[in-house]
Amino acid sequence: MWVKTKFSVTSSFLIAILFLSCGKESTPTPPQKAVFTDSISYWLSSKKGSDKAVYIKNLQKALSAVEIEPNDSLKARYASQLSLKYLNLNDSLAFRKANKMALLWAKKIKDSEKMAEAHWDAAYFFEKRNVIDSSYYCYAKAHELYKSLGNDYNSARMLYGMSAVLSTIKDYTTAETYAIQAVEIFNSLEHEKKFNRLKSCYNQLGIIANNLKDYNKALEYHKKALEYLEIMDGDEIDLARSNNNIGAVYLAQGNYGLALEKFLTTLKTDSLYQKNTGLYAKALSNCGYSQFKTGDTTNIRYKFNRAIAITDSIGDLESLSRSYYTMSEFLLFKKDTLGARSYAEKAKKTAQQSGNSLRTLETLELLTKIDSDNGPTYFSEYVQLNDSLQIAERRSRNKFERIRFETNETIAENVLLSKQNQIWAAIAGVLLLLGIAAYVIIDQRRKNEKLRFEEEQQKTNKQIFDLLLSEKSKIEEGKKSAQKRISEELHDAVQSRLQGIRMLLLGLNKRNTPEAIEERSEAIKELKRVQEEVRAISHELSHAAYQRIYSFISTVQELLNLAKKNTQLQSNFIFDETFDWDDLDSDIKINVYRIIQESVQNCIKYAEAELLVLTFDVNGENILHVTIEDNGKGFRVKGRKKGIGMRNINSRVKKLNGKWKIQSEIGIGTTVILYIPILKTQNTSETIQMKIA
Amino acid sequence: MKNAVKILSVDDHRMTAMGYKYILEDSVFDNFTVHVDVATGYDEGQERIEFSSRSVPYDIILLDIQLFPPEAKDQRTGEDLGKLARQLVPESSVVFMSSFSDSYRINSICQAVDPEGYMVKSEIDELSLIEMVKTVLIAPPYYTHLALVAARKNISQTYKIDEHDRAILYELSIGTKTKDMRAKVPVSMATIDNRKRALKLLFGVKDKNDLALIEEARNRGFI
Repeated sequence: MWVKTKFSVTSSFLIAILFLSCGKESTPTPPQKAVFTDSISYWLSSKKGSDKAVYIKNLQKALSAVEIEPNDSLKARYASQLSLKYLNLNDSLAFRKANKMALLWAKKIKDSEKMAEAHWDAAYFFEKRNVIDSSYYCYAKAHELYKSLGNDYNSARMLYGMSAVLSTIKDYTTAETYAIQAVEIFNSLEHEKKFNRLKSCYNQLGIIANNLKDYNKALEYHKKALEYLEIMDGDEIDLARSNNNIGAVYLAQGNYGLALEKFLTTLKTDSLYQKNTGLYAKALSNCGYSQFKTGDTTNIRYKFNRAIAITDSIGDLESLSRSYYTMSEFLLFKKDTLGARSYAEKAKKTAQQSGNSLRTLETLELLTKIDSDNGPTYFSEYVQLNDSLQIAERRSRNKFERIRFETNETIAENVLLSKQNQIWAAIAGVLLLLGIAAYVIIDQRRKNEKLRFEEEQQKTNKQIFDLLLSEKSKIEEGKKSAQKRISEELHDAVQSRLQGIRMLLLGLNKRNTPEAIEERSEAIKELKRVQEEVRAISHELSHAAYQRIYSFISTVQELLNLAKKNTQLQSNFIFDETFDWDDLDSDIKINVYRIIQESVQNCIKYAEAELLVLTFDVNGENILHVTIEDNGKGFRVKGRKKGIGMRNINSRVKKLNGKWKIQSEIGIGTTVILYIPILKTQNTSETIQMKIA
Repeated sequence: MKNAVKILSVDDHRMTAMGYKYILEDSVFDNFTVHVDVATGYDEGQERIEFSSRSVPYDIILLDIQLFPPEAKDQRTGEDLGKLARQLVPESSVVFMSSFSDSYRINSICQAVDPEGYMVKSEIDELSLIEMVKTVLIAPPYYTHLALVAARKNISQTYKIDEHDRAILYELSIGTKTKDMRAKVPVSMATIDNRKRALKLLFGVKDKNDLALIEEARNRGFI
């Protein structure tokens, strides 16, 4: 049992204030809530000792007030206090109510300590009422909570509780384990009540060992308990209890002499009867019994009667049953069969009442000894009881196993949950990394694509550049070959013939024969023919000279011709012949060529046009207009997503700082117009000239 | 009775050959008279030479080099006739009458045929023709001036370059592209490039373009 002292200081302070305010009726009313809270703590602070009725009434008031208290943490606090107070009061109904509330609100505000306290209160409550399984369950839950809170002292106390409860249902082995665990924990701690607890534990261990018939161990444990008693300078009642227990061991051992000694020592304890009547009665009974067993029957009957009377008065049925039993045994010894039987029956009845089946079995055994006629009846009852006892024991053991298992499960669950949390955290981490990786990859891919796009453009640019160059050189070659041809023509047609004419005339110079005259006229005709040849050649030359073949135009023309040859697309190429197309920036030439190429492809592929009109025009403001018109199917300009072709055109026009637009009508055709600014750069041509020079 | 010197003139222009005929037949020679046969074109020339080989060989054969128009399929030249004459009628003297005055051509023809004379057409006139006949009959060779210039260049040449190199240089000078040279020069394109580079180095125009190479080659008389 333990008492909360937390709020006593604050509550006494509040009482002081309230006492002053309670007397005067005219004081202004402070906010309702504050009054409420103060009242509860006031009611809770009232002491038990002074006026029990007032105390109970205050507690009742507090209980109802707490129910409607809005603040959860206050609720939990007050309910917890009430739970303890009602426990001490022994008011089962009120206790259960308060305890339930205490647990509920403690859970709500997630206060593990208050939850543990509530369980502890309940465990003690159930223990006192012999509801062993509930008690065990509550102790176990409290133990779990204290353990998780790291409160080793209290968790050990819970272990002690569990041990005590389990030994009540005769699960001595497990009880021993718990008690040992508790001892270990208490040993490792530093606490003012350490030795007290250890004494209790060893006491318990002694009882357990005794019941397990390990008498030497039992004595050892009890001696240890006595040691601690001495260290902590314990009170005499505890000493008495220990002595009684040691005596019980001797008794069980059959060491009646030593047992009697111990019991006598116990009885000699100062004011034992007043301080612990139950213990006194027990000791008395034990004393009588051991005395009886030693063979000394002096005053036995008196002792037994006295023991019975006391035990009956305090309502300790179990001890009472034992007393009856011992009396019966004694009377049997004294050959008072009737008396023996009567007491044996009483013993049986009280044993059954106290729910002590083992005792009941013992009494039945005794009865068979006493009343041999009814032996079989008693025996069958014995067997029945024994069987049901075994079954009940097994069931309860299973129940406790289950409770233990569930507790372990909860622990395991918590471990699993934390592991799960770790896994979730790890998964989240991995997903984040994946997310980052994915983003990086996508970004890189986009950059790659962009680079590739540009690379493609560059490649096509180079191709077109090479094309223009080759076209230029083709044209030059053409010119050269034309020149060569003309030169050869000159040489051959003109020069040789003139040579011939000269030779002939030279030869005929001195002759005057008619043949000579004939030949000379022939020569003159030849001269005329040569003249004509010269004129023709000259025209050819001048035509070639005047013919300005722009390689750029020629390249574009080639493109159109190629289309004409391979598809059904006819074309017209209209361009300003006075403009020096080759003087344009090669950037413009390349990109415009590419755009035209793209458009021609589109005409053929998508528009399925028959006629394409290409116009090159330069207006006064140095803007080159390139118009590509076809009479194909046309398409919807708006809705379409820009395909790679359009994007290409767009990027190229942009590169040239130009603008463009595309118009189309379904069934009629498509027109693409480019507006490219051209700046005549005189500088470049000058630098070239300088380089040549 | 004066001797008759038989001369054959082969030219694809009839007038040219007739001119030679009239000039030479009207000229007065000390010890002989001249009779000129005219063959117009390669085939006729070939016929005459072959016939002469069976009968009386000509004393002098005047051969024009270009006997077919430049675009004609048949590219046989006077050079080929010269070689034929050498085969069939080695006692006949061969004189080339050519419009080619470049050292390369002259030298290559002379090396191939070793004619008794070479006349550049622009230098042909009455006097030179007579002189040529006289010299060839008594003390060949007879070269007109330009031909002499070419020969001189050849003599004074310290560099030795082979006929492939000469051919490459020549083709370059007339503007033949490397890829078209293979027809005239039987080596691979790579070889042609290598030789060009070597020639440039030889002529001291290592890092200059083909034009400079041609110029230098011309100066040195290779072309």
